[in-house]
Amino acid sequence: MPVFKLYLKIMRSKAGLICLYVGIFLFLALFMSANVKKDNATGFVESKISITIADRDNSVLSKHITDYLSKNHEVVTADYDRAALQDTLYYSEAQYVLIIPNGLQDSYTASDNQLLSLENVKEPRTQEGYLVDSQLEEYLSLVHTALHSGITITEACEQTDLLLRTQTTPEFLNAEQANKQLPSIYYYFQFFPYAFLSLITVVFGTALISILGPEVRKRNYCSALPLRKFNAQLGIICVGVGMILLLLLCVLGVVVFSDHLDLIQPGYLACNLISFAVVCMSIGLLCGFVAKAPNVLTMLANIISLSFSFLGGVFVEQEFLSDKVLPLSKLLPSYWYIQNNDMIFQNLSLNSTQIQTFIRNCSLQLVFAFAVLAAAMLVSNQKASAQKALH
Amino acid sequence: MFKHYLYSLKDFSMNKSLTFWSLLFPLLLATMFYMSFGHLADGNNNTLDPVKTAVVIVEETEATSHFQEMLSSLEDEHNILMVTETDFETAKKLLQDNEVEGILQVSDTVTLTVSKSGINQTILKSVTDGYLHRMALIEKTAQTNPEKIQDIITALSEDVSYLKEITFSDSSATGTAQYFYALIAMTCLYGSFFGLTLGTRLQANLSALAMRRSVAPIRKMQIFICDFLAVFTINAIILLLLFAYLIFAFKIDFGNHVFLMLLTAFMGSLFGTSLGTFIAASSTKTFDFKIGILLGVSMVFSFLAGLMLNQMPQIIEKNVPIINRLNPALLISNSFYCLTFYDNYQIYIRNMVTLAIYVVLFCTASILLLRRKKYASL
Repeated sequence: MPVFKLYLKIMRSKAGLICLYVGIFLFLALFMSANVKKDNATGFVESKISITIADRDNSVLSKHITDYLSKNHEVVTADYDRAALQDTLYYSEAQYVLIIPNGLQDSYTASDNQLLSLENVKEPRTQEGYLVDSQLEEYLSLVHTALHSGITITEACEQTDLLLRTQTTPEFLNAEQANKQLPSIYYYFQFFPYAFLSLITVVFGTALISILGPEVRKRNYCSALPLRKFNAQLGIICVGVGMILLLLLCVLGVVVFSDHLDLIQPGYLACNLISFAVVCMSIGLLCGFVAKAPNVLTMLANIISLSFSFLGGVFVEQEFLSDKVLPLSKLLPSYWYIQNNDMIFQNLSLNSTQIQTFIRNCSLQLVFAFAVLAAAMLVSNQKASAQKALH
Repeated sequence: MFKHYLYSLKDFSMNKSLTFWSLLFPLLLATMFYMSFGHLADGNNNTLDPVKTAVVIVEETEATSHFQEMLSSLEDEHNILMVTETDFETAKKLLQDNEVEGILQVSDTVTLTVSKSGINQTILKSVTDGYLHRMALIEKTAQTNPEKIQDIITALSEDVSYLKEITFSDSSATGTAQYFYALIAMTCLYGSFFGLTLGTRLQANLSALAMRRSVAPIRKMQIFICDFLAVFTINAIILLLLFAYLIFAFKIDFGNHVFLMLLTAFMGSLFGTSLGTFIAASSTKTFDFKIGILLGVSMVFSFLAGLMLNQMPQIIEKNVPIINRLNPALLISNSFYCLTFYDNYQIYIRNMVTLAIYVVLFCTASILLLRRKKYASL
């Protein structure tokens, strides 16, 4: 009990600081969850790009191009003003700026076959840019080809519009995926690793820096409480505090994002969360043993939480991680947490293969946690030996 | 005065843990960013990540071979697709394991099977649609205008470029560069930890060093200036090292305006230092509590500037644009963005002026809060 009381006393003295951290991280997690683009439509939904079109030609062809893009994307038309178009990109109003040059239609109808090109400004090497490029190339190619039949530009554009009605309808591998809506709370748990890891590292670390600091430690050495009991009690209260914070964040998530809660599989979700919580607690302990001052702890917490989040696919979707970085990502528990989280929310129920995968992912997280815990114990012992040697 | 500056510089740089972590933190974070998506920001890399696709040939026909030719062209010449030709069962397994983005089943027609909606799946749909449109055009011409069929086929196979990519400056904007700019902004804000130490070392009720300094025969203003310059120097060195690391190790594009780029970084550094000093001077709470405040402030600013999600400034711009005009982290990162991708300095100047106003406000407030303090007992 004395360690419990000591821990709680320290926690009480740092309550303001801890509340501040809880507040900050909750704000971040909730803001992230609330603002990530969500699409709850069922069936296949085509990706839409925001496009600004500056039409300098004002012809039948340019109007058909604008109409075609408007059907597939979010299009805004604007006058050609270089500075204004720059601002459009700066203020992120458009991902793609298209400039239709003066004389475009004439170049298509002229006999010399010297076609003018549409000009575009976009972020290079992106899927979004490629998609719009390929659709425009396709449209203009069909119009240009149709003109070879000897028809007028209006007829060529109308014929192309008719042809474009022929479309493939993507099928889903299973019907469940087509109608499955991802609830808002999915995004909350997607960002959970960042918030919880930062929180636990700072909360554990702040308390441990005080408890393991020279003053408190010296008093403990001369107390009647054996070191083993002291460490055991410290471990138990750390787990208790960790679990209380986990519960707090979960309850808050459920209260704030209460839509589609029936789509959650609570058992699997709890297992995944607890596995990752154990990882966070072991890291929190290690940081508490390593850091000597609160400012160092703050930086450690940031480095670890951001690394785990970026490399594990919390902030950047796992499909966008490069092949080179994937082997490294797979060493991190956040990667396996996200895999499980996706699996839980994308399926209404798990089949036997998925359950096996789920258990494997949880086990990998726990293996990581125990490895970190072992390192933390080693650091703690070395620190204790070094301090004893000083007396 | 220079002697005092040198002592302050030596003293601050002796704070090894803070200096080490202040330097190591941005370097580590930069490395991680580069590992995660740096391949997308690499100026030497002109290709995008191909869409992994499973192709199942259901029936060998003439149409099948046309489609395969088109896929080969998209894979080999344009590097848009990465095709795995296989049977349907294996393809299903690949799709379930997220090894491919979609399955194309090819016979007389083409069908697309996916496991979710997304940009890669839309590209696959666009590829399939393109093929179907061309087939439809050939069929229509064969029915209505058979003598023109050869012209149509020739025209469709012509390699004509209908688009031209242009830029508004010498460089092309990349969304991933925004992460690195936000990182530099965060490093500037983290300079506030040094500023916090500075402010604490000037208050006799908060530090033993300040007690000794308060009875030393030197004006407080002089100490403040020396300390401020020393902290600014350390922050500036850390930023220069970070720049060198990003430019030489990762080839991140910062444009050609070296002087303005350094001015931006130094202005950011001044902001960080003045913010830390102001928070230290503003209350008598513990050092730990103030670190919490600083961490919160810098994390929220950095988050809103797109450190964790690069779409965040866009979301804010649509909903509460005033936040983007005032958020110092975004002012710093967007200044780099302006220098790299724009030939218009209007926004850049506005950002710099806003930051300068912040620096003047925080420094003035800090001086007013710190000056002429008397202690009844220490």
